[in-house]
Amino acid sequence: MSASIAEIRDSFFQECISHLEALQDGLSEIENGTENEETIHEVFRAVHSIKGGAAAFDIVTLVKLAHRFETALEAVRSKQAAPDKKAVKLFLRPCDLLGDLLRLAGTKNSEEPEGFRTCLSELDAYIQNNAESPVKSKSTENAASNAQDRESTSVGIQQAEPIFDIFFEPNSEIFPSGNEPLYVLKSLYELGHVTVTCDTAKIPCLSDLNPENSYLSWKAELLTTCDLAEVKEVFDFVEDLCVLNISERQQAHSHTRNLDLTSNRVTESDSNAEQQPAEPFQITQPDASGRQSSAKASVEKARFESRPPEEIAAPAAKPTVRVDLDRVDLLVNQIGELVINQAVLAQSIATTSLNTDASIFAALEDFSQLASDLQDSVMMIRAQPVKTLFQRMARVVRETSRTTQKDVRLLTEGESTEIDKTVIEGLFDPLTHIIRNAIDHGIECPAERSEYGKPEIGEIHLTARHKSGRVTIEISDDGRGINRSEILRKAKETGLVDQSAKLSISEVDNLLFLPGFSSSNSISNVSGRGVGLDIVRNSIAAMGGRIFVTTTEMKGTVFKIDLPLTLAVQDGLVVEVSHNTHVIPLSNIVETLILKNSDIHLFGSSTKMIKIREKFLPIIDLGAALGYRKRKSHFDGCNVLLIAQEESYFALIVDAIIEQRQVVIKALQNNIGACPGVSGATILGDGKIALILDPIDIVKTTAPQNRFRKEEYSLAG
Amino acid sequence: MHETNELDRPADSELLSFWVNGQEYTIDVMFVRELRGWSKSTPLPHAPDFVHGVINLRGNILTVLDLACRLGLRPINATERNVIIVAEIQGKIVGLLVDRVSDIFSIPTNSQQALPDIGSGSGQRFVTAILTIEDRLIRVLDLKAIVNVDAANAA
Repeated sequence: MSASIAEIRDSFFQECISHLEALQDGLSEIENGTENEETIHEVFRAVHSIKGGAAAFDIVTLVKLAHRFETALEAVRSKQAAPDKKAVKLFLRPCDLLGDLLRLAGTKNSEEPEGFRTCLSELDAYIQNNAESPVKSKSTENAASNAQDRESTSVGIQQAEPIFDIFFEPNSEIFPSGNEPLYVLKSLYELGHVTVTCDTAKIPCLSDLNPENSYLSWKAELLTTCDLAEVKEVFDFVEDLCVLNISERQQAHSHTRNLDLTSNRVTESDSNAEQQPAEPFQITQPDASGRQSSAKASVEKARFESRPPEEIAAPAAKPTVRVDLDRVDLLVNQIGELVINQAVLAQSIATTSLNTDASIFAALEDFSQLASDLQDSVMMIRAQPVKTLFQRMARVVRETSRTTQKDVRLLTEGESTEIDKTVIEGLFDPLTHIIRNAIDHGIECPAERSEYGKPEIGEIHLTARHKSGRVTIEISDDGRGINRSEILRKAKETGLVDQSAKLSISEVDNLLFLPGFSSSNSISNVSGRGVGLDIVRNSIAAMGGRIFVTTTEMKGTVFKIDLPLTLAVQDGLVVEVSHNTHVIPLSNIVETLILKNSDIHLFGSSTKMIKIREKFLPIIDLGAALGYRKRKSHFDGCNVLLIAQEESYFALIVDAIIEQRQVVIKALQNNIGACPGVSGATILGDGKIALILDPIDIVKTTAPQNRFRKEEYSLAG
Repeated sequence: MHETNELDRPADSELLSFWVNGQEYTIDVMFVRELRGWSKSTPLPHAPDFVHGVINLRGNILTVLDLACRLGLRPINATERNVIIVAEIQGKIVGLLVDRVSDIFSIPTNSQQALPDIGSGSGQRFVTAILTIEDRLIRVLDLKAIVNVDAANAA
């Protein structure tokens, strides 16, 4: 039992996340002035749903805030207050706080987040201010709210008690699913005054009667103060198991309020439809014959088959299915296996004498194409749009601009760009860092901006787009930029760069990522700029990405992050060492070359260095480092990979370079303790396992003293 | 006393027995997921001696332990005749390389004989009890201790 409650709780939190998303969307539409009649209702509904769920789970703080928020929104919805910029700004606060509260509630933490009290009182003040506004006359109010509610399921202020005509006919699925119409009807009584009649006309003669089927239907007339959504809630659990028709009419409009329910009631409600604009909310599930029609109710509900377009009242959001991540991973694994299996099959066919038959090769070709398409599609399942990430960044911008007293606007582009879920999660901290920096140090205060002839409101652009199988995320601000000569001066002063070194513009900009620049005493006039940028770069690199920066003085700074689409696949170089096949991630490799004896120099008795472009780099023999063999005594003609470490380079000797390919990363069953130098494994086309090596870790574990500072190499080159 | 109450009698346990370097060992069959013939494995660099390597188990990477080596015996020189017992314990799946699998039998749980105190040789800490069936002496393995490498290394 507790397990199922936990499940419901989980899905509540997941739904809340989509409600929050809708809420933020709505608010930003209003902020940009692109809202329509429906927008405010969507916002209201989102808050209302969060409140409802929170109440069910007894999350007091959440209910408190959502309730207050709802009341404030009500003022806008009922047109007592205009949804102006100020209001939106006010509403964004509780919106952020709702997110905080949800996170806290998720960790079963019931404390009040920072700013909770102030936000409540702000909302209260807003409600107070708008309470005295003139109220429109009852009848126009109702007519207006009814008109607005044509598509929506929620209903405006109820001045008169509406009457709901409910037709409820359970289908044959209702009893096997464990539902009981009696209880459903009983709960109607809790809402208000109900008159129910039962239609027994469909009961067959005893010989044809299936005791597990339902042959009854009910008509109910409900006089209540509740709105349609609340009435609908009663049928929540059975809505897919019945024909349900709820229509609403206002008492004021119904001239012939007929409590005497007769069998032609349905037609009567049709005739009522002319007077009352509210469309009946209709859910039909005709039978269990397999045709599934779906409720238009909630967008996040899984839909396997949607209705033909003409049947859909409003353009619904794309249907989605919530799936456990484990199941997706299982699928990814199995498809990976299929691809390997295909390769094995191809290989064995190639080695048989069958190979004169061309048709088998055509089929095999198709198979391989299909298998790789399938793999791509499965990878896309793990992908998610970056929208949620961007919305969280909008909040970072709001909060930072508030604390720094600067007016900053976030403009986003490419919100629907999809990236692997893990990558999205991993991007949160780096992006937050960059945006905070941009507002704090990049964008000038309003007075300074107008002095330079810039608009007072600063702008941060956040864009995401796909580019040749990778994703590029760009963060640009229109602030003061970074003084290049200052960076260079600082770098030379601290010894990060040689005094005589000549650096290209981009090299100078990217000096910002060096750890030396992360100390707080960096460049004085943009103090703190670059703090922790090396950490940003490291976390991006950990995801197989790269980050670049370009800065133009007075114009602003642009950060460009280049990321792989997924973490499940990696580009790697397949190499052979002592007859073992290994994969080295391409992101580690700077270049490959073949050693000549003349490049090799002896230091001391046995330490060998390689001279590349006037710099000496340590040589690591991979075979020896992995313990496969003794260190080679001569390296002439050896294949060498130049590996970039954070601040050093080294040369890694391998026996042969086989190919460059994408590999599916598999975790090692981690029950043998740490395996130094091995980051994972992959299965090659022949079904054999190749270990994916982490060359940097190998060097750390074998020869920590052999590290060279990177800039000595890179900046001289 | 000639009647035993059905409820009082402890349930039988089913055991799988196998040979490692001329000695017969056994584990509870409930731990066993499958048996596989040996196939060439990929060695793991810098791993402890008793780690035979990793193999591809239908798309998953399975670590195979050389059971003989783990028990302090001579490492197994694996050929196609060797068997890998795929066992699952505490959510971990691990392969155990043995010479051959001999038997599956069920015995009352209480018929296991406590291990006589013969000092603690390196292999001894993995054996929890011994069984005698006919003339055979079968050692009951503590699979948890076998798989729990971290603790063993720390000790």
